[in-house]
Amino acid sequence: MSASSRFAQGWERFAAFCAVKEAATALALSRILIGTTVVAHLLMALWNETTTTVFVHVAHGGLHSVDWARAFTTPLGAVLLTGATAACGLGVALGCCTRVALVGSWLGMRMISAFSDHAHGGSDALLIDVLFVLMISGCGNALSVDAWRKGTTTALRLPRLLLVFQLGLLYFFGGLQKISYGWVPGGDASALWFALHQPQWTRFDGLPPAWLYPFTQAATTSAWLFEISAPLLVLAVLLDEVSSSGRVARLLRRLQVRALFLVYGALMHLGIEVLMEVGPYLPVTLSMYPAVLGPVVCQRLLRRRHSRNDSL
Amino acid sequence: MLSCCAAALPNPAAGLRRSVWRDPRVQDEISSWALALGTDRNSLQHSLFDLAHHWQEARTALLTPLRPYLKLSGLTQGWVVFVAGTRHADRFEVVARDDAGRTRQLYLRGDDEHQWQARLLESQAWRNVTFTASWPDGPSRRWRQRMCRVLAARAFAVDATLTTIECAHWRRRNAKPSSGAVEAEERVNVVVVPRPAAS
Repeated sequence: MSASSRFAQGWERFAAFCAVKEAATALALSRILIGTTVVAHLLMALWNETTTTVFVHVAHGGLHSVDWARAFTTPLGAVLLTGATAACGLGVALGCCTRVALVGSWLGMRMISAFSDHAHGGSDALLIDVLFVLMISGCGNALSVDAWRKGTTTALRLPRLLLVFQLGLLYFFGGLQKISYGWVPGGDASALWFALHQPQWTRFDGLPPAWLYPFTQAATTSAWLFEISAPLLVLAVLLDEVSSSGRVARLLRRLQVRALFLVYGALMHLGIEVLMEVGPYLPVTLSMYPAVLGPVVCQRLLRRRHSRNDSL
Repeated sequence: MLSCCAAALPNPAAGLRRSVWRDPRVQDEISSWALALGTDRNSLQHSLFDLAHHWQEARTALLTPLRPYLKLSGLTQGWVVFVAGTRHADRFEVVARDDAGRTRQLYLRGDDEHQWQARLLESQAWRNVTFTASWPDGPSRRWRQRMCRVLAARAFAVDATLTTIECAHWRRRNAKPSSGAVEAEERVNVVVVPRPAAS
C-alpha cells in the first residue's frame, strides 16, 4: 500500500472517529458551568467597579489604551458591554438561543479581555478558549431550553475531545513554564510557600505558619508532576474512546489515570481557591472536567442525582 | 490543535528586557540556579538571556503563519501561573497629602485599618494591575501612572483639601522557615499625582 493511500485511509478513519455522535450531556455540563461563570464574573466586575475603571479608555478616565475602542469605552459604554456580555452568558447557561449566546459571550469576553490588558488573568484567556470550542459544538443539544424545544439529545464527539486537549495543553504547558528553581523537582520546592506569602494572591492576612512549609513543598512537587504528565490524561481519554486494548491502554486503565487526574486536579483547584484569590480559575478549569468524564459517566451521575431526588 | 500547541510554547517576550532582569526577583532566581548548577551567576545570566532571545526568534518564526488564525479565533495559550514563586512580595499602598501638609495612609493591601476603595483595589483585575505595575519595565511604569491617576481622581473628588495622592509598593523579601526572619520592608515604585490646577 502506498504512503498516500495509507494516509487517505488513516484520514478517513480519523474523520469517522470525530464524526461519531454521542449524548450531549458532558458538553452541556461544560456549557452550564462556563455560562454561569461568565455571568458571575461580569456581575462581580460591575459590583467592584472594575467595569468603570479597567474597561474604560484612558481618555475617559479609565485604564486601557486600546485606541480603536476609544469612542465607545466610556463608563456607560463599558457598563453596557459588560451587561450585554453577561446577558449572553445567561443565555449560554440556560441553553437559550445557545449558538448566538455563545458567539455573543465569546465576542464580549474577547473585547473585555483586550481592554483589560495587564488586568486580565489566565482565567479570562481560558474562558475565551472554552467558549470558542463550545461555539462549534452541539453543547445546546441537552440540558437546555433549546433541547427542550427541539427535542435534541446528541452532539458530535470532536468538540468534547478538543476540550480534553485544551485541558491537557493548560496543564502541560503551565508546568513547562514553571522551570524555576522553586518548582522543579531537585530544587527547593518552595514555590507554593512563597506564593502564599504574596499579598496580591493570598486570601489570609499574615504570614503562613512555619509548620505548613513541608506540606507546601509536597504540594509544589506533586502539582508540578501532575501538570507535566497531563499528556498521559489526553492519551488515556483517546485510547478509551477508540476502545483500544493495546498494552499502553491497558496500563493506563489499570493505573486509573483518568480518575487519578480528575481527583487530584479537583483537590488542587479547591486548595488554590481556599488559600488564594485567583479569580474564576476554579470554575473555568472545572468546566472542562465533564469532557474528560465523558457523556456516559455524566449521564450516570445525573441519573443518580435524579433518582435520589425522586426517593426523597 | 497545532496552532494551539505552538501558541502554548513558553513566551519569554515580556521578560526580554535588561531592566526586567535587573529586578531582584529575577536576580534571586538566577542566583538559585547558579548555586545549584555550580556556575557563575553572570555567565549563567548571559547564557540564559541569549538562549531566551534565540528561543523567542524561533517561536516568532513558527507562529507567524499561524497568527491570523489565532488572532481571529482569539485563542491564547500562555499559561503563566505563579511561574517563579518569587521570594519578593509587594503590598500596594495609597497615601494622601492635604493642604496642611499632613499625610494619611488611605489603603494598604492586607491592612484592615486602611481600606479606602478596597472593593475596587482588591478585585481580581486591580490586583493583577498592581502586581504588573510593580515591575520595572516601561509598560509597567505607564500602568503605574495611569492607575494612580484613576485613584487620585476618585480621592480629589471627595476631599477638596487633598493636594497629592501617592501610590507605592512596600516590598519585602520573604524567607524559608529555616533561614530566619523576614527582612524589613522597603518602599518602591513611588508615583505622585498632584491635584490638577482648576480650569
